Amino acid sequence: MKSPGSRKSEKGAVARAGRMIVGFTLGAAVGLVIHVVTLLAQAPVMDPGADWIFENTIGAPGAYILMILLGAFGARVGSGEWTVVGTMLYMSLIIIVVGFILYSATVMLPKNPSILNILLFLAEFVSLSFVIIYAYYTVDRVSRKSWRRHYSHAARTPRSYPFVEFHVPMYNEPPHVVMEVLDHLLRMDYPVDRYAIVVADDSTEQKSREEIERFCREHQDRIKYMHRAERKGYKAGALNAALERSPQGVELIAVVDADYKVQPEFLKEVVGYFEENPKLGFLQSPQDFHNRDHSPFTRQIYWANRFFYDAIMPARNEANSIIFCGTMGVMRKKALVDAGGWGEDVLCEDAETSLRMSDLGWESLYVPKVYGRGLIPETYSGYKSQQYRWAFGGGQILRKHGHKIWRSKLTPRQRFDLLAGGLHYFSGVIIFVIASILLLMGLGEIFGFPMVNYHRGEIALMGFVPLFVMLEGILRMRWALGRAVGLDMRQTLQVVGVWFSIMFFTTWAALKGISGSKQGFVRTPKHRARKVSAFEAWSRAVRLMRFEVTMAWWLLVAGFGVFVIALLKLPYLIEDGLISTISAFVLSFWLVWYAYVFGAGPIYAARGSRGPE
Amino acid sequence: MLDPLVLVFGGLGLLVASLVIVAINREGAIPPSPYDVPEPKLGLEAAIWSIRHADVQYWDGVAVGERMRAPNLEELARALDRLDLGTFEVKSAKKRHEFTVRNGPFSKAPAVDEPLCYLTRGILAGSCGATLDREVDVVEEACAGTGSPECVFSVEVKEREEPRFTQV
Repeated sequence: MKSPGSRKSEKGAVARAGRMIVGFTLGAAVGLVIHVVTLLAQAPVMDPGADWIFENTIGAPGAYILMILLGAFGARVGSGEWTVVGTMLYMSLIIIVVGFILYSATVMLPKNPSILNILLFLAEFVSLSFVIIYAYYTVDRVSRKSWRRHYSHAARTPRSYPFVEFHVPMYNEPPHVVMEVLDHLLRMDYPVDRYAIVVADDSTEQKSREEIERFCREHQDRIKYMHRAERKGYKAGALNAALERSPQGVELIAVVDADYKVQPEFLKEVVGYFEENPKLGFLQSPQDFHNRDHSPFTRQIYWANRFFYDAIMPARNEANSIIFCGTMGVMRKKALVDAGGWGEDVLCEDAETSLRMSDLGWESLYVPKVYGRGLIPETYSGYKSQQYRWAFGGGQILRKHGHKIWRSKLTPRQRFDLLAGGLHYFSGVIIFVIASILLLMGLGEIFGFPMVNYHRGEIALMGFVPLFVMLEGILRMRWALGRAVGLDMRQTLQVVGVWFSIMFFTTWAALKGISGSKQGFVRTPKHRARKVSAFEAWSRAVRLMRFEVTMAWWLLVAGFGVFVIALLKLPYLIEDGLISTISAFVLSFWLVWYAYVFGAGPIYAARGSRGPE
Repeated sequence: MLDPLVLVFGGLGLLVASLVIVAINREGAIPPSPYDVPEPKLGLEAAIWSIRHADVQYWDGVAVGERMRAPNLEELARALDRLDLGTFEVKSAKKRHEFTVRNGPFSKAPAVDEPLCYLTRGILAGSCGATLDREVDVVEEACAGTGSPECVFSVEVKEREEPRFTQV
């Protein structure tokens, strides 16, 4: 039987490579023709001579840039993976970004650039590079013509039933929730003598611990209960303890969080993949939540979560580059042991362990069927705590494994994904830098320093970057989420708002993670949100998001101040200069826009604190 | 030398051109993918099935619900949430309570002028009776089957029958 991870036949691969070479050659040729035509158009006004010919043909970097860009476009079309329009879209982004960065360098970096100019240029450079990196996933999701590693949702009946052990780590979970989860695991549609459940309980609350232990004793032939007195290594430590005690015959380990109710067909439908592909190290299915409709806020964070499982994971799966997400996944025990078990020194032990497995050459697989549902945080503070852990862990992974981007056994695409997966948490730094510089300019203008006059070029350029990044981001979210979950534009904007709201906090967490700061594992709170008054929700939100509120307030004040100054300039338009007045209006607009970006934090925190509809 | 602004405007032109093509030929530009999860829509058959098996669903629901005694109706709504039969919300009055259920099993059913959620109705009847320790009447007042986006169940608590004494 054909292995699920196998690629197209050798013949197909050669034909594809041939088409890509032809596409590249044609694209580069078109680039050269465009360059020569431009050259000929300029020729009558230029002074002909040997130097001129050299500088404008072989010595012209612009010609090479154009040829490479159009060549890459041709190669991508030739590969036949994306639609022509998808390729056009992505190439247009690259061309705009490359052109803009080159142009920006000429404006922002004159011969003696100030620190402000260098900072602005760097912020623009990084944010535009992020656009190119993250647009790849969405364009891949919406314009890919054929999916080589997609598997139907149909059940795959295994030929044999490998022994599977469910590892259920927990820490002070409500006993009724845990017992429901265990009850579901006991009812798997899988031979009862071929699977077992291990409860790895680190709880410190005596009463809940006793209740769970009693339940496990009642089913002691199927459930093994273990408790650690010392919570070393947190969740990873509990999972490692379960792994160490796992008997010889266990082949697969399914990890399920203590709030996930698993559907009976889960094991029966996924073990076949391991049987068919002996190189398969781990498998992940999407996370889903049965309380997603609890409130508008839970729905919005659910949609944000779906973007990861419906856009990022399919794109990464095509390149055998997914990560393990901590629950609703299965690992081959041998691969896990080979990798040295779960990483106890990082908060995202799941992603980190899977990265080590990929580095050893084990393959991964994303099965896009929901097999179980857990609980999504119902309050903003719960959501914040969960995001903190992920961002902190993301930073730790970059610190620990960042060197693998240059030197490891990972494939180039796996390295790209490692970089992209860790770096996106740092986008808040760029926004903060740009907003701070704008704020300084705004305050300078208010206090009588003619900042707008000195930095007209920068203001215009800064206007372009956020506008471009924002519109581009919203558009691709809309396509991807529209396809996956059926979201309309209003709902997509809400998801973008949720991301804005948490961005600075996750950036802070990732910075702490990458700097080597220590942090204990914070379990995502699962308590139910109760309806509270608007006043209480807002006061909670302000307390939760002090930094964002402060920044939003000052940006708003500066924006309003600069707007008033621009209005006052209107009667003296001719004396003061039209461009200067327009620049002041543009600056005030951007200040207000960034006030919204920071203000999204308290706005969504208030929504998240209000509870059910 | 190629002016960087030529690249910027050339790229913008290409971007606009691709967006225009997407607008004109959406299906060709953004092909369907196996990862697209179509919005599940129930057919008429499902609605007919539910009406045909109303009795069985209702009484099975009552049997399940009777085992779901909760301290109060708010707690009961939370317990019912975990059944994956939708999201339950309760508004309580003295003798009449109202449960609103969103995204229930029949929320994508076609409108057939009749309510369809007999299982949920039975569970509510059993569980509200057990929780309030009184007999209740549950009626599904709004449902996808009657064209409503969410289901609304009214729970009416019956008067306790006083024992009758006859004078001798």
